[in-house]
Amino acid sequence: MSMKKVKILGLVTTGVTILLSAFMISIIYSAQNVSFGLLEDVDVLWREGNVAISIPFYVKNRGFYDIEDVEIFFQLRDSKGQILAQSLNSLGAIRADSEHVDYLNATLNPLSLFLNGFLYELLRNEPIELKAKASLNYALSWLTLEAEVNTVLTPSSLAKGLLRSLTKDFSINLGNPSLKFNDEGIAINLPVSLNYTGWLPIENLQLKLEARNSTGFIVGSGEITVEKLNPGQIQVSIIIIYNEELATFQFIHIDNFTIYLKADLAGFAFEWIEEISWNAVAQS
Amino acid sequence: MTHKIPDLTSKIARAFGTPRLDLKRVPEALIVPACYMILFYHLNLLVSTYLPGSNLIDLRLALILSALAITRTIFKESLISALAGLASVALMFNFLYQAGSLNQFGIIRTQTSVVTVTLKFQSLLMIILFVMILKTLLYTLEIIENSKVSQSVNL
Repeated sequence: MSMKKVKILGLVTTGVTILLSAFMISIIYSAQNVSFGLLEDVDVLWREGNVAISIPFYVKNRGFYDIEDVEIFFQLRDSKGQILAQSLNSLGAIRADSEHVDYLNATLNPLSLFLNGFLYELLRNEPIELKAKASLNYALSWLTLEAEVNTVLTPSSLAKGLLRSLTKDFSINLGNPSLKFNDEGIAINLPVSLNYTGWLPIENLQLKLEARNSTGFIVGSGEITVEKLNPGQIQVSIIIIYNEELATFQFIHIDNFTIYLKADLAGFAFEWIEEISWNAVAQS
Repeated sequence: MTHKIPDLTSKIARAFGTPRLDLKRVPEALIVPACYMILFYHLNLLVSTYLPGSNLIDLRLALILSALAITRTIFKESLISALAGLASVALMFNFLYQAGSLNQFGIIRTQTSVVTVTLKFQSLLMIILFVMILKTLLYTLEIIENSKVSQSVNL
């Protein structure tokens, strides 16, 4: 081969090297301008026989290339490695120079009816391994990236999710109160409507209601217990006995109600507080 | 009886060529090492961002590749230039091998305590290897051409 041909080959090689280097630098620069993460805590819920996982996330793609074919696969395994449930979620494409903020709501369907109950028991009593695998194509599909994370779901993480579900699915409406006079003194009969849209029944629901005036003094209190609350609506009433000292010396004006709630759900005990203003009750 | 005294000085001079301090070569001598440094620096930054604790990228390799590229530019059209080129190809091949991409053709798997990341780039690796083959061919031909010139000068 002559020196001229070697020079031509040298020019071709240099050209291809420059193109390849430019492409690789553009990929690396683009990948550096991609950021992602979680916005809040991950919610793990037991809903309608399935495990629902809600992951709030964001992806900022400030690079030159689209992130394509984004797929996220979840799998739950017990301590022996047996697959309990799995789910595949497709997010599609995240275009270049765009931001994507969303919730990744994955429902893990137990693989058999037997596992349905078994999974519930496991989540209550022992940790379960959650395997999350994400895959995507990048840089005109020249690169494929797969990331795999293994985390352990503990009963406490499930309890945290259940409390969020409980406070979201449970609501209290107070009806029109009526005055009562009996041997104990002045009392108010307050109708209470309990609405529950959750799936698991609530047990040992205790409501302790305190009526306060505008200065924050407790002018009366009452409480009830509901042994079991199934999804739906029930009507109960609470007798509020007025504080005798206040009733004797001054006119009693209720400004708001503070309700202390205790309940058992899925074997976990929860406590939370709700505030309702008197105006809301009067308007109803 | 005659004694042949080999003219080693001239042979070495022909093989290694004369370094030419041509100002036109200064940009070339700067651009290629700069490209290597930028590429490896950003690659290192990317790896340390997404895979903290991973030592996939060694910046010393970028320095050696830069030194070889400068050598190639200075000793242009000589045997040492072709040898420096071959050495850079060998180093790059070694880097790909060390990174694990050649064991499972175009698949790099790295693992930290939390996450396992697998990068697949088979098509890109084929192009990289094609360029490396081209370069190897080019440098081999340069060595052959330089040898021919040396032989003809000897004759």
